[in-house]
Amino acid sequence: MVENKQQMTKPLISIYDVHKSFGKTEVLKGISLDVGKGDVICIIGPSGSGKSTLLRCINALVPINSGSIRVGEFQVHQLKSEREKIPLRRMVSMVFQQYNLFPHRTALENVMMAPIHVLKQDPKEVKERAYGLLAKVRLQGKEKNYPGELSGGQQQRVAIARSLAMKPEVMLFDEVTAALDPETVKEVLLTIRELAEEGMTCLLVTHEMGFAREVADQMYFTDEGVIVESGPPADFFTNPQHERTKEFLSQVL
Amino acid sequence: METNDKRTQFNWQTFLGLAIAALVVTVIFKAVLGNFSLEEFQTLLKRLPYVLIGNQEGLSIKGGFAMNIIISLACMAIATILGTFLGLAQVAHQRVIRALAWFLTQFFRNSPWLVILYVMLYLLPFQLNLGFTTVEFSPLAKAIIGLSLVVAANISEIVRGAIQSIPSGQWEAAEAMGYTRRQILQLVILPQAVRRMIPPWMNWYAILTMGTTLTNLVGVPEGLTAVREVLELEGEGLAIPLYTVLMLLFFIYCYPIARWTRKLELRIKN
Repeated sequence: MVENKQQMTKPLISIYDVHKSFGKTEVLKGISLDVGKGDVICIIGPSGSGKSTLLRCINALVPINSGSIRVGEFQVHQLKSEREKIPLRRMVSMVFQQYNLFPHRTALENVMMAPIHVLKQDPKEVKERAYGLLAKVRLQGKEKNYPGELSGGQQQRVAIARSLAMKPEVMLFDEVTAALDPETVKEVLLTIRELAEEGMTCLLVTHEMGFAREVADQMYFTDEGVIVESGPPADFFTNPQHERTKEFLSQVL
Repeated sequence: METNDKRTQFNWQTFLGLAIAALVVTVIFKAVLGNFSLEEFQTLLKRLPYVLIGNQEGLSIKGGFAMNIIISLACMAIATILGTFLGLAQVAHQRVIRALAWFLTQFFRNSPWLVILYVMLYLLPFQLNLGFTTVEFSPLAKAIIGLSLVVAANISEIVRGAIQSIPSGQWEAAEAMGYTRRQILQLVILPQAVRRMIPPWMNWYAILTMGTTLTNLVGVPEGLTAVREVLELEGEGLAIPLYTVLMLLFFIYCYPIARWTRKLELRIKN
């Protein structure tokens, strides 16, 4: 019973004192944060502040120089080979700014590929689930379309469905609306909001302040590789403590 | 409707190209017509099969222009396989393999074709005893190996270039979903890259086909050899018409490939 309670309170993701340099440029200068299961956290900050790099460290796309990252059972910073990283990537899915759909495969095939080839699941079953996932992101009837035939917003929703097909426990969203037309931003945000409400653990790097305010449990403001300020959105937006945060918010709000 | 229009246009361009070529040939013929008798014209017709297949009596191919085609096809098959491996090795994860593939590619890409042909002539043995069987290296086999190496090096560059032209986001997305490096190449990168490889690959086939005439210098009986043999037999008077015929044969074979390549390039760009 006690053990069980401990597990309940133990954060799903623990990031501690993470440093990362590209060549001589230090992008992350000691980042620490915890994310509980089902939490939605939003990371904001000026470009080049290391937000996207931080997300990429969490699923081991980018190796860190020092510090530690734990996701569930995985000590991410200790995973070296491709094979070791696969279970982590099954648990943590990522959606990108440029969608990165595979242009030579249809929307349906894009969703189906990873479960079939990475998770070795039964293609028939995967296909059924893929139809369901595309319906979930409101893309019924677009299953046979190639990415090039879809709008940016539709492509991004296919990308979300593709990530969900892995049945992840954590979703990383890296400025997923930054490359979209304003009118298609809404449909993508709606999909993310639904996920958040279903209890998916989400980490978002975003410039959509209004959206962040509505969905986030916790806000983080990063600048020059460090977390300057964090807090629940209500305090964060109305009563920022640091000069740098105030300045940034006044520019983007 | 629109595709129909395009097809008509394509045929027109081909036709126009061939018409201009025919015109050029006629002008050249006219220029030498002063001492180009009917008798010589008959000789030309009589020797045409020899220029085409290197055989005056039967239909079996013993050389001539047909040999150029055979060499080009054989070289292209070998070079495509070899070049694909070399190209993939150029983007391999292991630094040693990458460096070795890079060196081989650059070495053969930057060597004169004719020099390589001569090197092969002397480097490769006449016979190779493998214990269970003996492989013979005829001048033809040596020439095919030599040209294959050159073209393979260029195909290697095509493969490497096409793979590296695929946006890094494709790698990243696949990696984030747990694909292995091999799966990423097989399922994501190569299917996209192959489309981009086809036009330059075809272009190299046309270049190779024209380059096969070099093999006459290392003793392979092909089109150019046939023309020279006929000239030795019948006299230099037929030189211009015969060389023109050979040029025209290459043109008729290579030009449609060039047109087709251009068409594919445009389609891929759109």
